[in-house]
Amino acid sequence: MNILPLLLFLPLCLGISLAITAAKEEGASNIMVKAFKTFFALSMIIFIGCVILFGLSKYL
Amino acid sequence: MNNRFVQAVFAWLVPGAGHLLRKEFFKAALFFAIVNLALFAGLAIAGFRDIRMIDNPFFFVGRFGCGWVMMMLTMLTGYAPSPAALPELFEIGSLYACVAGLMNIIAVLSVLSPVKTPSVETAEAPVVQVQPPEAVAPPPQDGQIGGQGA
Repeated sequence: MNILPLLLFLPLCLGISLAITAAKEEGASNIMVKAFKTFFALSMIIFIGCVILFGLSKYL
Repeated sequence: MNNRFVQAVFAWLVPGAGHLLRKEFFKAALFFAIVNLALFAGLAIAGFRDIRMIDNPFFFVGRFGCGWVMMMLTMLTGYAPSPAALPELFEIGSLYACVAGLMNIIAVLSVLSPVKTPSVETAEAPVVQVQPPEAVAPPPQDGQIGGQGA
């Protein structure tokens, strides 16, 4: 399985998170903290979902 | 230059220029870096081959948010004859360029919004001097109120 195309989506998602947060928030530290929090929260949701689906596919 | 629409046009032409005119320097640097990094990374991933209308119409339209850079690229290469084979990661590269354009549109919309003024919650509240509570009166002694023991 070629994982390189999937890894290329990570910096793009981080950039989108930064752009959306910068458009609605004020203050440099506030923007950075909120953008990284959003990025890691959504990444963890996707990662945990993938782990659950992978585990289910082993038993179903 | 204080006109929001003029600032929005500059923000579309050069990513971050609109916020620069609004003297929001951090946001200007952030948008300039994000949009240009995504755009040129996408071009590099796609083998420096510009996307054309017949490749993917959605990506072709989306990357026009990047302003003059993509317009120049379109004029130079957008209508060139198609090469025999596309690069391996051409789809992802063109997605990068498209998302860069959409992020610049977010920056343009951010410039078009009015400058934020301090809200009621964040404004400095007047200082209120709180008086210390009065000393608690001692409990009434037996027999003073209502009589006890009849």
